[in-house]
Amino acid sequence: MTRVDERDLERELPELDAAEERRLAELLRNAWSPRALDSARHERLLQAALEDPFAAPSAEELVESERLRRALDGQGDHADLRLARALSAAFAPKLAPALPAPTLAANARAKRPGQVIFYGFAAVGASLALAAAVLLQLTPAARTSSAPEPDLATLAQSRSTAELFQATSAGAPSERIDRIASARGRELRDNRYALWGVR
Amino acid sequence: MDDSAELDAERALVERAQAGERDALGAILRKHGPRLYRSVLLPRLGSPAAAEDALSRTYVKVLERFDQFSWQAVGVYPWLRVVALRVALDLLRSRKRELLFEPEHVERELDQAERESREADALERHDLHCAKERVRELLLRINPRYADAIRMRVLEERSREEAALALGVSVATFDVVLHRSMAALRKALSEGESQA
Repeated sequence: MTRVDERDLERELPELDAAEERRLAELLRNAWSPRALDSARHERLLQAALEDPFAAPSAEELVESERLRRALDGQGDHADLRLARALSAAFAPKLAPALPAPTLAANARAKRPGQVIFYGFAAVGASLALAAAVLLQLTPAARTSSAPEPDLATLAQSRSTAELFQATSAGAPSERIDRIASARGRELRDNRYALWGVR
Repeated sequence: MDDSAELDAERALVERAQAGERDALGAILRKHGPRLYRSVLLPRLGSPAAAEDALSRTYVKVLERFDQFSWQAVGVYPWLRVVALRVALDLLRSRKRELLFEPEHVERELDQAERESREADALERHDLHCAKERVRELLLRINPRYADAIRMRVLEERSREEAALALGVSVATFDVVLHRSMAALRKALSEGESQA
C-alpha cells in the first residue's frame, strides 16, 4: 500500500473515542483468548439460579410476606420496605417515594376540601379576634369591673430600700438583693390582690 | 475416571435431576457452566458482564426445560450448549452496538449444534477455534499494518515498546496507529457482512 493510499484510508476512518476503543479491544480479547469464569462467582450465579421461587412457603414466610405486603400498601413497617425504597430510589430517583408514599400523597390530595374549610375557619377566627382587640383599645372607659374599688391608702407605696440595709442584717451583696426582691415581690402580690378585690 | 465412567455418572445425575433433585442438576451445571461461559458465551457476547448475564439466563432455561432433555450417548453438554447459543442469539439480536458476532453467525451455529454428536471437550475446542476464526476474518478486512497492531497489542498483549519496535516506528507513532486500527475495525464491523 502506498503512502497516498494510506492517507486516503485514514481520511475515511470514523471518529473513535477512548471508551469505544477499549470496548473493541475487550471484544477482540474475549473472542481470541476468553478467560475462565471465577469459580466463586460461578457458584453465586448457580445458587441464585437453583433457588426455587415457587417452592412451598413455610409458616414464617407466610407471616413475613403478609407483613411486607401490608408495609408496601402503607400499613405498618417491615425491614424489607426500606430495602425496597432504597432500590426504587437508586433505580429511578424521581419516583423514589413510589412505594407507600403515593398512598400518603393520594390521601393528602383527597383531604384537600377539608383543608380548605379549616383554613376558612382560621381566617374568620383571626379577623374576629383582631376586631375585638381594636374595640377594647378604643373604648377603655366602657370597661367595668365587678371588683370593689380598693382603698389606695392600704396599698404598699414606693419607698426607699434603705431599711433593708440594716447593719445587723447586712450580709453578702447577694443576700441583700434576695431580701429586696423577696420584699418587693410580696408587696407587688399584695397590691395586685387588693386591686382585684380578692383580699 | 475414564470417559465412559464419567458419562455413566452424568447419566445418573441427569436421571436424578429429572426426578426433581435440584442438587443433581446443580452438580451438572457446576461441571459444564464454566465451559459454556468461556467457550460459548464470552467470545460471542464480548464482555464478562454480558456473558455472566447470559449464563444466568441459560441456567433459568435449563431449569425450566430439563425434563425435555432425552439422554444422548455424548452426554448432556451438547444440549446445554444449544440452550446457551439460543440465549446468546437473543442477546445479540437485542444489542444496540456492534459486537464481533452477528446473529446470523449464531443461527448457523445453532443449526449445526442441533445435529451435533461430539462430546463436551471436542465442542469446547470447536467453539474456541470458531471465535478465533471470527477475529481473523475481521482482521483480514482492515489494513495489514492495522491488523498487526491489534494482534500484537490487543490479542497477544505485548508492550507498546515491543509492538512499536516490531512495526519499526516510535512508541508515540504506534499509539496513533493502534487508535486508527481500532477505528478501522469498527468501520469494518459497522459495514457488516455485505461489505466483506
